[in-house]
Amino acid sequence: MTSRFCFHSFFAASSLLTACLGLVNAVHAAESYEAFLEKHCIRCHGPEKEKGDLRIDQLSRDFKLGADTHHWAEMMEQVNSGEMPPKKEKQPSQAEMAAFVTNLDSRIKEGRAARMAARPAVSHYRLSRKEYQNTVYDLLGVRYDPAKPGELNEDTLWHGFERIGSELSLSPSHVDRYYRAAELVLDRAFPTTAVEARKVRKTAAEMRYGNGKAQEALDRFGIKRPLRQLLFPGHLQTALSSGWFGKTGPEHSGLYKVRIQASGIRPIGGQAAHLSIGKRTGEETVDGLIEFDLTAPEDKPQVYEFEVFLEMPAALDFCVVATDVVDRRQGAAFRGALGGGAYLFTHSSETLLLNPNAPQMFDDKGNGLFSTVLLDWIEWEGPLVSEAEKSRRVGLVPQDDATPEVVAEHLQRFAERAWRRSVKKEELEQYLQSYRTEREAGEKMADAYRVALQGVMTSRHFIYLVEGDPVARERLTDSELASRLSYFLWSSMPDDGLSTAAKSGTLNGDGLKKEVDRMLADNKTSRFIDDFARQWLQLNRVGMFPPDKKLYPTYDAWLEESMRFEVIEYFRELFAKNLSLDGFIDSDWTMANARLCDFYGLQEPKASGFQRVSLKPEDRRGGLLTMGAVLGLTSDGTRHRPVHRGVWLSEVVLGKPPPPPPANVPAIEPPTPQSPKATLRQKIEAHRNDANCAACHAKIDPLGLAWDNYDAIGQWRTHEKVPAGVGSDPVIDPSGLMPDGRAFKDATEFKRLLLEDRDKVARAFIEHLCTYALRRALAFDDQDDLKAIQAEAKKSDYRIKDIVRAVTLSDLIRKR
Amino acid sequence: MNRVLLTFLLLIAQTALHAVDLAFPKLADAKPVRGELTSADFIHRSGQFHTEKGELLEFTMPPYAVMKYRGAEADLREIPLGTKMTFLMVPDENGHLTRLVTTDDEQPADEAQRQKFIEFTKARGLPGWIEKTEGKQMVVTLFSGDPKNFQKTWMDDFAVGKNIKICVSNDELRTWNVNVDGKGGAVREVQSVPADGFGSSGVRLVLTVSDMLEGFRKGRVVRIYGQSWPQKDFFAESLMNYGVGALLATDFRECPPKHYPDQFPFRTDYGNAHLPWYQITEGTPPPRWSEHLVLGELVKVDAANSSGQFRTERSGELMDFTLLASGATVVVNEGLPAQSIAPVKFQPKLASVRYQNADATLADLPLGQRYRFHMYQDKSGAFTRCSLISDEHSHLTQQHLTYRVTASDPKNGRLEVAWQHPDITNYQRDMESPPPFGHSLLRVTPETRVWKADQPVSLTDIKPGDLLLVNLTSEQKDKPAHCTDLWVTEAAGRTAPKAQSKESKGTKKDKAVKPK
Repeated sequence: MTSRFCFHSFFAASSLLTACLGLVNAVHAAESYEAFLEKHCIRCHGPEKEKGDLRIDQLSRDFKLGADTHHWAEMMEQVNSGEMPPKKEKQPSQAEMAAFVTNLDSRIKEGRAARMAARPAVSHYRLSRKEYQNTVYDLLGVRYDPAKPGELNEDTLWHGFERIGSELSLSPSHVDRYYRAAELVLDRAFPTTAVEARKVRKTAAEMRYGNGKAQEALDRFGIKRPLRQLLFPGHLQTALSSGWFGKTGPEHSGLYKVRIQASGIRPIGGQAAHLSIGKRTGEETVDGLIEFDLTAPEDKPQVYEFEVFLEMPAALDFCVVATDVVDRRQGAAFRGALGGGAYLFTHSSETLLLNPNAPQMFDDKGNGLFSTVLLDWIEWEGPLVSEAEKSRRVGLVPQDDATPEVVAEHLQRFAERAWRRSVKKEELEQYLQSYRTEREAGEKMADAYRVALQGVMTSRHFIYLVEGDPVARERLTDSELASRLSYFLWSSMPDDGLSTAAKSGTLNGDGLKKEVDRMLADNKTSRFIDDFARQWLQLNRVGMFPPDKKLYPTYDAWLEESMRFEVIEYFRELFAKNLSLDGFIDSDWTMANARLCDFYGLQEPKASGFQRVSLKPEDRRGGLLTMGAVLGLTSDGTRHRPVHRGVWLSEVVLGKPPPPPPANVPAIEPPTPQSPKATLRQKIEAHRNDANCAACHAKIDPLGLAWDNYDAIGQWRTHEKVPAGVGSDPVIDPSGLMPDGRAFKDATEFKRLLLEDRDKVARAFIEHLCTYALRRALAFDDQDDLKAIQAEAKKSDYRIKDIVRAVTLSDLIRKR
Repeated sequence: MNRVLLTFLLLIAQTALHAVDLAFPKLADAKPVRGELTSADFIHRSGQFHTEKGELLEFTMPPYAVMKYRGAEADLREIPLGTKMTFLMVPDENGHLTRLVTTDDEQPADEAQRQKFIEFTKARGLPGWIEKTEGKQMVVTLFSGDPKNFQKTWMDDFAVGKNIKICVSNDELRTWNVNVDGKGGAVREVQSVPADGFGSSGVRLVLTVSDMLEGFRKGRVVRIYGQSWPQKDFFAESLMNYGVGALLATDFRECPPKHYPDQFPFRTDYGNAHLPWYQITEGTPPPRWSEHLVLGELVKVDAANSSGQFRTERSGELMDFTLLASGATVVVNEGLPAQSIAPVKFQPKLASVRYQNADATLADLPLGQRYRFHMYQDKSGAFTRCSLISDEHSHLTQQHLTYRVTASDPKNGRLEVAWQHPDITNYQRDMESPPPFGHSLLRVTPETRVWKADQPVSLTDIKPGDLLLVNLTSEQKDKPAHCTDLWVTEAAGRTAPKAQSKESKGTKKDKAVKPK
């Protein structure tokens, strides 16, 4: 168990500069690091002596240029870790050191941000995988999953953001993938053979009991109850076999509707049955394409319906996800007996039909012993193609006898949609040439024209958002603005209305407002909600270190997924209802499903899926900060990490990332059986006696320690469970001081103090939104624009949708 | 289905399955019958004995029943054939005196026998039944035929806190797969209860187990092992249908109509007494387990009409039978050219006649011999319709058994044989000769024909160790069954498991050796 937790002060007095994802505050203090250098460093690393070949006085102070950044970073590290000045020299005070490090760190960050934000005359921002996926769907009505293994490369994250232009490069192998992707997308858009939707329904008797022969026997016996398939945790069973539809190939890929009639059995003191359907990823796991809780009782099964995109031929499995599984380690036969031919399940009361050596699934009173699903039937139908999807391909391919001019016009129309701007005919010449070559070689119109389409779809103008002209300009063109808006709010290309507005020059003033309002009302904003919330809150970190099964036996894949959903659904609700930003900090409701209600100790909801549930003070929840996902994403799988929680909070909520810890800080010793039991807080405090660390930790730790009442997976507790040591488990102390000295005694008071700082929270939120929308780090130059946005947002009391609208209509968004 | 009715049916099924209502019979209520053990089936815990009056009685042993031999508890396989003793019988659910509770050979308790039984029990587990379950806890009353010595003999291994292993078993005390599906547990409490009736040890254990099995329910029988006991899978006792268990013939496998009667929509020889027998649908082969098995001596046949008559074993009733419409009948649609194969319709083979493990016709069957008849009811409800006639030779072969001679006394007309299964490849891939599944005392007469390699030989040529197949007459009042023919066969023992399973599916046809 190792933990490094030496962070340095970032809430230093007055207006000390701190970088937010590369952004710095407007006013620089006098360069305090210079005074420190003069006093402690230059004597040995200057004109007189040149120890270590380092002359600090000659290092570049142009941090934006970044020529000597590595030297500056090294110096900060040396001072931070106490290596410099050497022990025999006069030592700086703690405050001096803290000020030096903080000041230098902010300058380095500021420089880095400025470099990241720097735009050449023409800048390229590659579409993220999600954006590519949405774009091909909106362009051609084709479903394509770029995250599938072998498809597009994963996007590089920068502080959780997937779409930062300077991070998204393109390697040669990546280019090849785009070619294949375009080919696949066009295959689906223009299949060579007509594909009709097919429907197949399988009953439990057919799937599990040899095509229903066992059912016949029961029928003759007079047991009218149908056979049901018992799906139990720890074992996968077929949910879709590629053979069910008959001959099935990639041409059958597409949207499928699946309907399932089933009941869920919840054991006493156990979890509601959760079913995951997906491709097998291990002996007991699937990648969940479909996830849902089943609360329908045994005698009142419910029909559940979903739509899912399937790459065919597909083989999918049912996986009941629960903490308590019918364990294979208890003997293969133990579990195997449940799948045996003699094991005929109809009802929990009919145990005589079951193998005596199989695991008992129901006790004498009919209570389930495991979370199980009783399946009656499953029905698959697809591929389903909607009229709207079809309409996107209408008239795309010219008639077989089209003249070259008509072909060129067709391609131009397609390119203008694909490239999201006006396209000149000569820009398409190379693609038309490819088309002509194909035609001359005897290819049919459709095949030859596809080569041209593929050219358009592999062009940089499609894969990238291209902004600017060879002659530098400061503001976006209308079509560039349309793209920026639509990729911000819809994670995809502009629709016809937006493109037309851009073309007709009405994307300004009231025309722009009208378009933005129309966009905000469109269902496609759900893509913004999903993508922005995930990236802003760094939800990619949820489950990054899977919690220890022994320490957290109630944690499982579905709980983790549910936690992630909670955050997104909560954000969706705030956005949809245009509620105040205060909801991020505290609320008397949340969005939860059965699994989460269970986890939080709330009443089980009546309906399935996520829904708004109210919270009472004794539930100890409310706002983002007490959500399982947020509390868990900073943990290391075995214990909570207060310092990491503090760092996350300052970065994500307050927009102030602290300086990095120095290298080689010793880890906190794991508890020994002889030492008295101590909370992590007590150990951190002991650790903090190190003067090098104390100054910074005093500022950052309280932000994390305030949440100590929540363990590594976010469960409420009053005592910290300490695995080794003498005495009883110590009581949690979540009290502390805010960096500005205000005291709080627990998380609730902390939230109250945070609400007093709502301007800071709003400012941070706006900065995150702008980073997302502009696809770049923010820089010093953006300060005034950000202020203007904040002022505008404040007018509507920081309501979420209004903040988003303020960003969308801001001057900043119209700048390159 | 009406819920009440269903519950009722399930209750009946429950009774049929376990044949116990958690009460032990009083020995005073049992009927003592003097007799001589003539046959024992170790696997099914059943057998036959001849009473002093010469009547042949069949018995099965309830789960708590245990034999006594030399004054001590003994497993059925430890009692020599021909042992004369008192059989203590109680009636079955039909009122017939078929349940053997214990035996009494009036000998003083023999310590060597007692130790032998202890050793056996440690390999096989101490049986008991479940009185109650709650969560992962259950209360088990242990069985014993010797409650006086029970504490002293066993309770060190079942003291509070001791670890145990517990297996579900059927009421023949057979388990599924001891080493795989047995569950670990621990003794939480030991209770003394009055040893009321025969079979109770007077000890009740409160146990907890790691996992509950479906069979851990009130009324079910379990076998419990002490921590250091050598748990042993007795080949043919295991009810698993895989591994070496898959080599077993049907009779020795798990019997679905007995263990899962609810899966059967009709009455069978093994259960569902509340349901009607399966009724033949013309042209449709009857389902497995639907037959009513009757043993009898063939009296006459009318081959032309596929019918005949037999005398039932022991009860001596004359029964008429007609074979179900049999054979592959080809029906050609007259309207189509003869070379067209499309309209040809095959009628399934509904009845078969087996003699010396080969297909035969009624005319091939010697009269006066005993056969197994698979009978079905006709419209009037009488069992006159027959789907299978099979001689003992065929039946033995089908069960993968031969009779290994253990003692030969032709002068006195006695032949002792053990039921021998072919060698098997065990889990260590070694060939292993399974212990006998049972043993019988056969009668031979000077008329008994003996065959060796197609040639007639003499009774005196039979030596211990020879493997035999037999045909018999039926057992009738004052006329005990005797062997009509004995075939000294090849050592069936070296058959590879694959070939065995093929044979059991009927793909391998043995060449019939006909008596001359």
